[in-house]
Amino acid sequence: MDPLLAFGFWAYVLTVAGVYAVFVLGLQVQLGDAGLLNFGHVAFMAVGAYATGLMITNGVPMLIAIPCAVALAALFGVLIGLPTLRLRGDFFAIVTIAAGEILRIIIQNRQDETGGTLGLRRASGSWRETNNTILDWFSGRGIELDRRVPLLVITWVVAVLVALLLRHIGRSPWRRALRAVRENEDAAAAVGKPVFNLKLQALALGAAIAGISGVLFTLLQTSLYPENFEPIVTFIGFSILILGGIGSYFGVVVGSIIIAFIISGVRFLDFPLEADKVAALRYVVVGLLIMGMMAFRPQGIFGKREELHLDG
Amino acid sequence: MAESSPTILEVDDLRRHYGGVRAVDGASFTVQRGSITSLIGPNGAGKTTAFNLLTGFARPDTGRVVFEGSDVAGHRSDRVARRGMVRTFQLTRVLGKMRVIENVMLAAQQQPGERFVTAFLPTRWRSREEEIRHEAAAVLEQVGLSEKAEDYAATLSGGQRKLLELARALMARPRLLMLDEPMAGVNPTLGREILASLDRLRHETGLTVMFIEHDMDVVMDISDEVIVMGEGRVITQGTPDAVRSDQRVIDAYLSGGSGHE
Ligand SMILES: Nc1ncnc2c1ncn2[C@@H]1O[C@H](COP(=O)(O)OP(=O)(O)OP(=O)(O)O)[C@@H](O)[C@H]1O
Ligand SMILES: [Mg+2]
Repeated sequence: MDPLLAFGFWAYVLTVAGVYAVFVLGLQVQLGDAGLLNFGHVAFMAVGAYATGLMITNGVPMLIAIPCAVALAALFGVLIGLPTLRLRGDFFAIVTIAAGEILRIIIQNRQDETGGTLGLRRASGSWRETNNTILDWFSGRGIELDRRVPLLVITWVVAVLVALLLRHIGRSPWRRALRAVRENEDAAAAVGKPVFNLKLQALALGAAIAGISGVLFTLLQTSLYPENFEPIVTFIGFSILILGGIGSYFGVVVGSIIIAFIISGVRFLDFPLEADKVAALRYVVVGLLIMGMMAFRPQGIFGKREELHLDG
Repeated sequence: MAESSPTILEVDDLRRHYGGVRAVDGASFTVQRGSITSLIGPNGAGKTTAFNLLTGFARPDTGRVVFEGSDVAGHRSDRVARRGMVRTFQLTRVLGKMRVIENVMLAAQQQPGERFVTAFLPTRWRSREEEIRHEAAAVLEQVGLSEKAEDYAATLSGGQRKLLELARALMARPRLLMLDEPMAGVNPTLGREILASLDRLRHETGLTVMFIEHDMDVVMDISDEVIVMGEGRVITQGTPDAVRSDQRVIDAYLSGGSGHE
């Protein structure tokens, strides 16, 4: 069948977009609100994913495994933050990228538990059966759904809920203090704001949100591989953030959809190239898009232009 | 007990060096509760460094900083501020991408909505937030920045930034307000008005003010006490009249540093 017409394929792409949207909402809290340059964000997604997968494959019920996995991702954020958040911003960025890589290599090497490069099979446990139950329920009422629809809906419901929750605390004094920390730590500290705690909270909240994206990723892929969590995922996240606009939750949603379509859609362009070169081409397209964005609309699609030129 | 002591701040043998530079080299002085105490000295005398050491923005090598009866030397800056010692910066630090009024509102104390969990429960912080907004507007009025309330702080001029620093510090309701050259770059008439309003404030609320200033007329005019620093040490401390006629002070200004700006 012509893939451009295959509903299931585009449902898959949109689900990936939703997973990215959740992932980048976490990044938005850290970078957009607190100014934390976290280049190892994918590690929190990996914790959420592997914690879910490992618990489920070891017999923990899914509804217990999922919240635990999210909590573990937040805890991992605290663990990374405690020794590093007092460092200067650029050092923090370097440490986070290293921490992410170390975690991935550990996952790769602990083959007995994680399956290593062979993958953690059936990480989503009984999700497939649950999915079938949902599909049967609908077809019992005369509605035939594509098997990818339930997760598509769940993913976007979660993404919208996370965005709404963030908007809910968007006008709170807590976020004002966080933004103050982003703007100038000394100024915030001089009027008694607990700078370190605020940064730790933002890091942990962003990590928990990335952990949720890891859970969704697990349900989507059913098997987990270390290479799913390479640094490129973080940088795609940053591309989405730049595209959508730093500071805008809605921008994250739109940016995720655009980037997911580029990354999945490029393969349909008819280039006289080998498959792996076409695969590399999509990152070229993303790169060009970001460069163009920087040149012509540096605040992103939904960012505030007036804030861009304000310094100090 | 500590509350009623006439001394709000007692600094004893404070030292801090940077490489070979002894920025603060055994400074000792006291600040009386309810006083306006100025800290003067030539450029590079160590005044700003002393402020940094007192307020937790730099760690003393040795020495004691007894504020309201307890030693806060080496404590984190935000904790010192919450105890009631709030400083401004010589080189202003405004929150550029936040509005002027937000810069001031930030400084409010006792806002439960600043805690992560409470942030999710607007009913727990909304009413306090309204109070804070009114209070912030009043403070902006006091420093003459009302018209700028809704502007981004980054658009303020140098003098306006000084005023915003002052507003932010006042909003924190400090017990000891520490101002690092608050009048530098501020229109002198407005500067004097503000000093007069600080003078009123300390009579009304018992505020203590310590400030660094190079303008001798202002210093001699408003201070109860003057502390003179030179080369990291306290040369003398006393009333404006006593300090003015002190030969050591005159020598310090003639020999050390580059004197007036
Ligand atoms: N972080 C630092 N690193 C290195 N040297 C420093 C540091 N802070 C202060 N100094 C040095 O300590 C000395 C005192 O500086 P300080 O800023 O305290 O002077 P000041 O009395 O506030 O002067 P001014 O009136 O010009 O503001 C200077 O020689 C300065 O170079
Ligand atoms: Mg100074």
